[in-house]
Amino acid sequence: MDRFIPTRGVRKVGRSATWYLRDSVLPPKTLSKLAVIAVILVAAMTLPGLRGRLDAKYDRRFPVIERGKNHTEAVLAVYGDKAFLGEIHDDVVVTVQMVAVSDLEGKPISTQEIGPLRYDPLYLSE
Amino acid sequence: MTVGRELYDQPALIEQFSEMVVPAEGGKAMALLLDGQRLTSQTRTERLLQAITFDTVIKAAPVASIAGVPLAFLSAKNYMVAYATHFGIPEQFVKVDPMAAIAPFSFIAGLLLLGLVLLHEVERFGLAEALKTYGRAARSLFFLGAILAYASCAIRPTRDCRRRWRHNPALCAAVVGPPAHFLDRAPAPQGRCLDGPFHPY
Repeated sequence: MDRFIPTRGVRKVGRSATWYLRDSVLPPKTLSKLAVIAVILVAAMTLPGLRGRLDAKYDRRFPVIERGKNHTEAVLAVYGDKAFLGEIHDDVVVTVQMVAVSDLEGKPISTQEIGPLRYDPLYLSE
Repeated sequence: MTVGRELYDQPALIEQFSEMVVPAEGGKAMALLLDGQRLTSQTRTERLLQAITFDTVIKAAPVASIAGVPLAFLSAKNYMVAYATHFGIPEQFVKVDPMAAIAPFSFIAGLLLLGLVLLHEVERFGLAEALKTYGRAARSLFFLGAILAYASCAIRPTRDCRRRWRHNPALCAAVVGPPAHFLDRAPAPQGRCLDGPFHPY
């Protein structure tokens, strides 16, 4: 496979950005170590959110309260004593309703595979 | 002159050669330590790793575990906010369960432990020595740290369809500021400039 060989201009941009640190201040490899540490810290703060987005995007199984032909009420998330129910039309979350968890106790809840859901902001008002 | 292994742990001989670099056996250059402690051909990293004691880890462990708690909760909150935002659940309702912060805590505390051990070893090595090596980079390192802090605050993994990059005042100033500066320095000539410096014709 053909690998991109940096042209002279590209090499010069990279060198001019780090020449002072590389050539006159830091011992060799220190800049690389600092870059690795920085990447690790930034990743520790940003990657969980990306993973949460992907999990929410590809989760298929949800606790479901009611399953009609074209209308489903699923438990999207539970935070402490609050539960968020989503009304789902054709795998799109149309409304989100917050209820107390204690209100769900009497209802028959089953876990069903209703596909990856998506949220359409056009349905919801602010 | 060859320096064999018999020179190890003989301070008098080491002080005699303490400011020279002599070739060792096998043609490899061997540097004598200036402090006269020990003759060695190890690299600086090897010596640093040997100097890390269990005692250092025990000293750094409580600090890492205490400082790792809020970071772990931040990571877990990022995860859950992203999950909730996908479904349209508002951010203010998201509450972090302590059980959800355990996995990020183990990861972040491990990272912090490594960093603290490194800092402790730098402290043992000596602040003056460290500044001799890294002091000239202080401005650059502060600048790098500022950029990293800004990035970690500004990069939001959640998706908000109403939010745009141009709504961020700092980013907007960074993008619009430099061109505005140069526009202010070199205003466009008014009227016809047939013989000005910007128009050779």
